[in-house]
Amino acid sequence: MISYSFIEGNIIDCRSDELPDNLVGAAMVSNKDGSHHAAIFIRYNGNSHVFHFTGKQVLMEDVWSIDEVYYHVGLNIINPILLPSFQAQCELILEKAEPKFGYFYTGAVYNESGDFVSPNDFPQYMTCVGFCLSTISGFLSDSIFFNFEDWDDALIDETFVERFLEKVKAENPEVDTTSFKENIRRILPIDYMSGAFSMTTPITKSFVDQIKTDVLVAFQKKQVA
Amino acid sequence: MAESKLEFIISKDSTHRDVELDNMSIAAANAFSVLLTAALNIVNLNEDKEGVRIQIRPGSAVIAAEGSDSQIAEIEHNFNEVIYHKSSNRELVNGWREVQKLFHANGLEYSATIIRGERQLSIFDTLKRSKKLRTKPLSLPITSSIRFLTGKLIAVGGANPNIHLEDENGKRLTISCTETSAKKANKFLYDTILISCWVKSVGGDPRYELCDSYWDQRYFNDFKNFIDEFSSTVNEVEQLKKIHYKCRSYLDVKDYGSFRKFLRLFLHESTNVNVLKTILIVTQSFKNHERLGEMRESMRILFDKQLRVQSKRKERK
Repeated sequence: MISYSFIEGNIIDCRSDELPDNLVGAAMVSNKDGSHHAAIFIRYNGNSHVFHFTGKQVLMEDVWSIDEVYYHVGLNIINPILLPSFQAQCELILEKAEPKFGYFYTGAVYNESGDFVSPNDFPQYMTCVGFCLSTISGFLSDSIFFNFEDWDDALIDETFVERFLEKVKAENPEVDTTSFKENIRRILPIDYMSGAFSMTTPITKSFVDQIKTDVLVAFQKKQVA
Repeated sequence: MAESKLEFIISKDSTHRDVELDNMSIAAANAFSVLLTAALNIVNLNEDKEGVRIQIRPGSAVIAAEGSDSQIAEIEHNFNEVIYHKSSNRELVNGWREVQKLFHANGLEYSATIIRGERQLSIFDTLKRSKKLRTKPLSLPITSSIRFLTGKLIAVGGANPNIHLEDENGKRLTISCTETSAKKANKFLYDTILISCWVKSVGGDPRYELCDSYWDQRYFNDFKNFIDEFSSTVNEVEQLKKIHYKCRSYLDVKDYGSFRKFLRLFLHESTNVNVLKTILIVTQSFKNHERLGEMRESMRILFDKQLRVQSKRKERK
């Protein structure tokens, strides 16, 4: 079991000047309404950026150029040697991705028959967390990051799901909403940050549930400090 | 004309006595020596240093580098880069780090100021409070070991199989290869061939290892142009994006034959791990593909091996 002090010691201000030159972290910030927003913290060659999906657009922002202060937990699963290819991958996503907001998660780039699934061919509906998970999973490519099937739509209001599916159907008449519905799931930013503490992959919901209360307390404490 | 300068002053020594140039304690003289060396280093690393004058003045111990406003502005700009850990200039960072270390050591009283006309900017607190200064790593482009050669095949064989090529200038090259490649090459004896090789320098001499041969000039030119463009791109992230788009150019039109030929260039231990990783990402849906699956698996095994080797190397550093 991971101790509270370990958790607190490993949630780090993204503007800290004592960070290694290369690392990837699961980052989070509090919104004004108290909800949370997830991002990927990228430290490449001593420069610090957050890479995230606002619900409207995908952004890569210098941590010093924004007002919000993000905190992160380092992702051991990404070897610092690979930061050039991680940065390149994020820039490629920045050039191509056009996600739309929704509690939907699937990480494919090419489908099984090898056709490229461009953002225009298939709707990329996702949350800020879904965006982070897709990006990191896509990078790992030969291992699974989050066992996302552990999560479901239990946290989402049923009428919201109905309205969301209507919207998807209206925007994309060709989409099969029955199979689409199976991929509707809500993974919270705090789940994502908690998952970063896992030393093994795939990260499971049972691991996240064990520590998420402590992670939330520690995160809130950091914000006040 | 208003004066512009970078100025260090040692005002009191460890016994709180005023420091005088003609009567310095050893500690004050050491500090003086450090500051003078640092000031010289900082000035020497300015692009525009012509005409900068170094002053040593009494009235405490004053060391100053006086120059034009633009020269001192350059010093100020460089100083800010160092403070925000944005400078990749190791010598400059070291120069300022020596000053920082001195200010951290207790005992003496100092001031450090950048003066530009009416504006006096004290940098003493900034330096003292800043975290340990360090150099921002330089991002170096990825070098490729791939070379494209054309010439007349003049011999094939040997216990350690190799082929001998006479290039356009009559220069003979020995290229190591596998037995299978040697057998294949034998059919082209005395013909002009187009090949790619991996080159490694052994004791300053190039060693060639055969990668692939091309019957179609189109492949040869296309791959050669790509590697030339890749090598002349100075930013490693841009280089990796080029690899991604090149792979996509084959995958999008399902030209798996050409893609396999292209991938062969990178199936070698000299290939940079980030290049291998970029290819593995773009081909991740082809793990079980009948024409690409096996090749991708070889590349994945190579990637895992190279990553382990590099991680160990980094740990030892």
